[in-house]
Amino acid sequence: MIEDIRQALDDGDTASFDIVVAGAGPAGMSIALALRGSGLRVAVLEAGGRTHPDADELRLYDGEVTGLPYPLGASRQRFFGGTSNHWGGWCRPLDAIDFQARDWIPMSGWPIGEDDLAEWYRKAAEILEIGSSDYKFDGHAGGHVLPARSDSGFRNQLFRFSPPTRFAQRYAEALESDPDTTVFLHAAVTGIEHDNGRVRSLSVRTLEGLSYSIRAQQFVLAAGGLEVPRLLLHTESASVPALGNQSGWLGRCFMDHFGYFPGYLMTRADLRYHQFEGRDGEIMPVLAPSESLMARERLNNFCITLTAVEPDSVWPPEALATPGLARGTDGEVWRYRLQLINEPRPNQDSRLTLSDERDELGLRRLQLHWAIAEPDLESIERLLEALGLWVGSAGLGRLQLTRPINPENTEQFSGGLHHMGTTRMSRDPDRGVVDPDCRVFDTDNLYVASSSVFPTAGYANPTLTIVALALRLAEHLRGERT
Amino acid sequence: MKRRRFLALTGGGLLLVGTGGLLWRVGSAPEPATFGVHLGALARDMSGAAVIGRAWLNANEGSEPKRELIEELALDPNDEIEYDTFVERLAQRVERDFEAQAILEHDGWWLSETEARLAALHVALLGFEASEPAEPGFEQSREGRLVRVRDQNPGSAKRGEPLTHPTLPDNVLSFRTSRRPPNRLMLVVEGHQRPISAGAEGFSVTLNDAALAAIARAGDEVDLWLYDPVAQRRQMVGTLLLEEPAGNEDGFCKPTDWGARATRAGEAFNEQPDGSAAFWIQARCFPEQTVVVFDNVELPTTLQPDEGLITARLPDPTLYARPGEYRIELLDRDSGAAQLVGDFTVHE
Repeated sequence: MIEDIRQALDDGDTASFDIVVAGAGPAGMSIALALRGSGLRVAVLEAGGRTHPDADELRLYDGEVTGLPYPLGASRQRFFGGTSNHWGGWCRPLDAIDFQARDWIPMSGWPIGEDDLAEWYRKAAEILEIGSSDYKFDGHAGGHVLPARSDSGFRNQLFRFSPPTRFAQRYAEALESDPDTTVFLHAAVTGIEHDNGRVRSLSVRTLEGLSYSIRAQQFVLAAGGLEVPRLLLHTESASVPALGNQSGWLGRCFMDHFGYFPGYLMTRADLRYHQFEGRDGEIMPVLAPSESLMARERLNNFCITLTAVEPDSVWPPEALATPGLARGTDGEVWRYRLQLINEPRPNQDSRLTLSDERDELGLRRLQLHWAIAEPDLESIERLLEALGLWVGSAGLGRLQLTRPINPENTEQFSGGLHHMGTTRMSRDPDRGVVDPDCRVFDTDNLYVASSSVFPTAGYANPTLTIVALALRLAEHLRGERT
Repeated sequence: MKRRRFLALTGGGLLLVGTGGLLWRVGSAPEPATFGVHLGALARDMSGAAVIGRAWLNANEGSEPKRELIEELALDPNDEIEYDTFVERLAQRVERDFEAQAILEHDGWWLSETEARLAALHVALLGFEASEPAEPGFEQSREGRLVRVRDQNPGSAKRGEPLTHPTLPDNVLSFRTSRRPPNRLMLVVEGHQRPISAGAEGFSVTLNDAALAAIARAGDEVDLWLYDPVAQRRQMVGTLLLEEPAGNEDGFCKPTDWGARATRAGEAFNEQPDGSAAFWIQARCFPEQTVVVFDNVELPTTLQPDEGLITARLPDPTLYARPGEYRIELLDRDSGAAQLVGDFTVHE
């Protein structure tokens, strides 16, 4: 059932379940969907209602930003369905290399690998209504991509697209009709009650000042990459570090896929690096560095989209079409705008903390210091150099860099509003916040379902991986019960 | 960057324009000839190379691009070779420039030194004035056939409403042609250029909001042009007949244009004498009790039905104090019916 907690419970009430999930976005709802039929009584706590919150409620997300400018409130959807209410549907699993420890990227490497998630990626694709889980770039765009041979340093990769699935519309009925699932609306979690490493209950408040206690055997924080670390940071006391912060990583390594437009590429005229209907659903090819180039040039992972634009007058297409100048183009060339989607490196200085100011629910507001490390920018320069030399030496075209990187010009970079990294997954409690099962270290029964557990970010939009990890966690929770 | 050997030319203001022609891929000397003859013919036939060529000559006073090219390509200028062999040699040399990072950088372009010298030879042969191209553009382009159009869908539209056709997504124009057109062609409609998506049997074009708004403001018939910016050629490929809308069952006509569409957080837009921000919405018909609703907040609204204009003030700056996307709708307070206008963006 789906209920307004203000009507379902009396002020001060305590309710008990087997599992409580804080957050009804793609992660929280995927867990609830996967636990149907398990016999477990599940409560999902949604801070908002069924519709977009009003301005007062959005003010709960106000916070302080230092470092690079970052819109803390943007892209956060405090109502049933969470960010699925406005996401664009871009889907792609992380690359194999994203899971690996790369000696040129400090703190890289997941404690789980591509194979550990393969099954869950397939199940996530069903939840997200993606037509296929085949991400091999195999002639999907005909000849309308750059011929990236294995020695080129580049490869073509594929994004697929969810419709996009709006979880509230798509799955409300499934949760409403499930006898063991209760979704409480207007139920904002404001505290985690615990002792001896065991969470006993979550404190819930409403904007009207009503309060409740929700007890359970297992607890999952699925409130997004900013609210999850915020809730955990609130468990700190004068004598004891916050849950998961035994080694000081909680809130650190905040990452976002940052965008950067460096210039243009003149190359074959018939490229299709844009979204189109493929043979098995909507797809979009992107250009990305090969694993060997990443290793050789010590690059972060990236992808590049190309959008056809007007030629410029300095070196127009007809100049490059002169015989002998670009024999890999068949003489028909065009100018494309390059857009980079960059993987950030984990950076301890990019972090979330709590300010002393409190919001209307009594929670301390967030303080974000977003930083992009200098090696990230150097990596971009090396990538672009490799791109320019490749297209030139392969007779495929020419690079035009019109916006060289200027670390002082912060307006060059824009965040993708993918909040990642602040509750890092690790095998080692000294190097992370959650273990490979997404359980908060030093707790028995507190889990995280969020992109905040990503130790590294790759370049792929995170929703598919968030849902895959959530479904994997749901399976783990079922096993815990038995 | 550190490894690259750049020859950076900094000649500012070199924003001359290049032009093309249908001959830009021909212009070769098919018969065997001496290397020097091939080189001269190729350089002479280059198009759009004037900016780089002039920059090279300005930066390298006394440069003899032809001699330098012959030396670079290590050929006897008097040997006769096939044209294709000559082009092959040139291609290898250009590609080797990139491998050796012998690159010229100008206005951001990374070009091979060899091709820059070739551009310089083009200018040297034709002279600075002769090599200056004409201004390109749709208006300046010549009329001529680009494709043979068999049919077009849709052929008509209701003014201010989305283009619809049973077999197509909304706002897509589709043309069947006798052969696949090149992807570089653009459809020009009421001054708006839209890229085409070409297929084996024709092409389609998705019209954006700006093009649709321009169509809604047009006369009874809109000309549809295909434009080849490389060949500088254009062809009228069809027309779109506009019918007057009757309004939907709720009495709303779809808005044909509106603004402002974005602001920065807290920054008033379309500022009124009282300091408040304001929206304007053009719609050919709307109910008498229409109000503008911004993010579920009803705004003080002024209706000018004769002008097809609705304006609404936002006296409270907190309404746009926070970054995000906010829905704008028209609401008929009598019936409760609503008509979507669009989403307003508040940037950080």
